[in-house]
Amino acid sequence: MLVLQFVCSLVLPGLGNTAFASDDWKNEFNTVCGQTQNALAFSVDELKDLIARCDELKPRIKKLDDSQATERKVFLQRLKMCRDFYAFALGTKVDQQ
Amino acid sequence: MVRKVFTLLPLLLCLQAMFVTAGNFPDPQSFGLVILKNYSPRAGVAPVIFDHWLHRSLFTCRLCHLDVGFAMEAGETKINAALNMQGVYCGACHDGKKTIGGKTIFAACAEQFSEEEVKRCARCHSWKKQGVREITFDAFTKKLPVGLGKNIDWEKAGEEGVIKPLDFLEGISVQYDTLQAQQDFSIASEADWASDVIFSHKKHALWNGCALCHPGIYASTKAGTVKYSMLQIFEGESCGVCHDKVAFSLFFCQKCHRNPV
Repeated sequence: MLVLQFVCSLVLPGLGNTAFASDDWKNEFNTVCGQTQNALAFSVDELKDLIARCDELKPRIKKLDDSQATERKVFLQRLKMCRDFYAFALGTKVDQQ
Repeated sequence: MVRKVFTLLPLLLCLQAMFVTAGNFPDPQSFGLVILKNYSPRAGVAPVIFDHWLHRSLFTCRLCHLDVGFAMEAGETKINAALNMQGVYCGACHDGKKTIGGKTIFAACAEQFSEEEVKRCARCHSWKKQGVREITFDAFTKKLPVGLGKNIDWEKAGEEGVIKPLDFLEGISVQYDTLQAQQDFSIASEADWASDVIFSHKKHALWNGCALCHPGIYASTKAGTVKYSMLQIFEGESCGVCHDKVAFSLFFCQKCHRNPV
């Protein structure tokens, strides 16, 4: 089994990376937007970082090809709500200071 | 004097509406019902009846309106069969594979189907059709607690564990961190005929999470920054985004204005 894995890693490295890359934006989305519930506990800098990560993610989702048009539509909306909430939390933090 | 008239205006409107609908509070069965007819008539099928009472007993509001992506306003999502078949919106659950309570959730739409399978279409495309729904309101809600106006008391149903709405859908939802307890607070009432509102942030956050309400519906956390009148709420703003449409009716004043004046 280990030999097979080794051979595959030599022969199909590109394939593995492609598959990973296609889901990469989703992993980032899950990591970034999975923290909204704790947003008010984050510091101003942490919130700014999360907002920046949302902004970086947006063009990556926008770039999804037409075969993923539906996913693009749904996730752009979800990302917007997530980003808006971090911006809201940031505004609240700044007001408190 | 003028101020007093304005203060009493919501009460008068409320009373007027109550007289108009006297003895006719929202029908529990059709409360929260959404008819989807963006494309169905053109496709030659009956419009879809979406029952909130069925779905909200199974899922939190957040799961459907944030993770799955259904708009909060009826008709805004523009759902069609193709989208469902791609595994989004209704198709996020209705894919013929996912299970709930040990039962497989039927697939929402299909390009090809047998004559026998047409019956499945009618499970949703059932507007103005009698006897085609598999799950009926009376049978389904028999065990659910009944509250004001014979409407289902969802709050109680949740507290008693009669319903356990899912908040996570594999492959769709984000694995959220545990929600920190939110503090309840009171909202001052300007009318002298109604007590202050006791707002349960905890209960609302449990159903909705955070991002469903903030900042879209409530753009500020500072108490008193934005003031909403009952008129605005009846127009569908603030609490009115959900209440009187899906969440309990605005005519049940004492559900929010809990203390006697």
